[in-house]
Amino acid sequence: MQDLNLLPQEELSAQTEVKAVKLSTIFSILFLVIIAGVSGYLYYRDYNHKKEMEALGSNIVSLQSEIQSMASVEVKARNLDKKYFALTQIFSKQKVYSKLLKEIRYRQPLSVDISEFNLRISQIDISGTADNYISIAELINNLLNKKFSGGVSGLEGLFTSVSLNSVSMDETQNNIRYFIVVSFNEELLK
Amino acid sequence: MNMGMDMSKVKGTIINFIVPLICFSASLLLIIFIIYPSISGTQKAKDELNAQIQKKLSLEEKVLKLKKLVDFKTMLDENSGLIDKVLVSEANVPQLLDEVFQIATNSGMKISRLSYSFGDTTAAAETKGSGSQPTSQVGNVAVSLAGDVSYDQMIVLLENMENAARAITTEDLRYSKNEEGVLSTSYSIGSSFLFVQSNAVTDEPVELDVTDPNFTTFINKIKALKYYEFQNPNIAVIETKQTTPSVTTP
Repeated sequence: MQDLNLLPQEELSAQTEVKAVKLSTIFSILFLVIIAGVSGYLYYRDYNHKKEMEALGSNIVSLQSEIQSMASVEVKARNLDKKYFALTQIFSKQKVYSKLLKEIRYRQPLSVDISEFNLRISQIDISGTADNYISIAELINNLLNKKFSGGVSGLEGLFTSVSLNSVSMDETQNNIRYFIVVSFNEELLK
Repeated sequence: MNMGMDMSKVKGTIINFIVPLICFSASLLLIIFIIYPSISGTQKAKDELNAQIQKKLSLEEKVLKLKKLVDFKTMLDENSGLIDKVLVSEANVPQLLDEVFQIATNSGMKISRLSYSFGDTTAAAETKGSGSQPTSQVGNVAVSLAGDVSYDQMIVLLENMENAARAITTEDLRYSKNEEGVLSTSYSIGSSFLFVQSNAVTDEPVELDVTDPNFTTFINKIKALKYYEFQNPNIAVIETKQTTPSVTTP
């Protein structure tokens, strides 16, 4: 059986309007409540953040004033630190050439004489005389011997290469003149 | 007549929907003035807070370090004095030459030449990351020394130079042996000086730790160096005009 709606059109329209007003009122109030809740939370959070920032700020200011009261110590420490840094760099570049001279003496055969010695960066020019060719070979072999035991400890591999630039017999002196160029590892002299 | 009816209808509708209208308007205002600014500024606020926390932590660390330095102030003063003897703040050429002269004569050298020249004095490069922006000037004095020695004396001389309090480095060394077997030697010696004037920068950290083992080892090494008192203000030296390349230590 079909329902019959005998209400007039105006009454129907008024009912619909009331329904719409009711629904929109409920929805808008709910929406407002949610928005107000979110706003309240965010406001509270921002307020706390602001308070935290203020507390941190005052803490920082008090730390800064404490640091300023120790300014003279700070300046001294900074100066010392700079010089310490500079000196460690200078020391790291410093070469202990006294050890190099000792090492050469230990490796120099008695029959070889060094008359000219010129030390430059990582290289030495050596010239002199020797009794014979074998002595010069012995000098070169000693310099290049990585297991040489009679020298300064830790400098076994000091000399990296030896180049025999010239060798000639001096008949008037009855000896052999030589000229060698020796390369060495500077890192071992630090 | 019709117009009047429409107006009253609109008025009625507005009156009926007054509560939703007010609610939506209030919500809109809350979104515009509270929610949007708060959400859009969240990241910035977090960053600010983190930055402040970091700053506070670094300042606290600095305060602790400075308090420690204050506790060790005597040691700090002593170490500063020691380092000033090794790396001087001015060229102090007479003292340097006197040190070289004493080393040479104490080693048995018969000095035939003692001269010096200035290298360029330049602003030091800021390589140490403490950010204190100091006024630093680094300079170099080049000393030329020549004289007669034996081989053993030459070794002693070099050892003394290596252990001298004012840092000097032998850059070149050459000798030739004469007929009597005496070595005519010559040396190029360099010595740096560094003028540093730091400022206190409250927010920058202090890196120095006087109790650090590396620093202690370094200080002990310096303590072992031999300091030469200034003795001969009138030693005969020549200033040469030859300049040496500038040193670029910080």
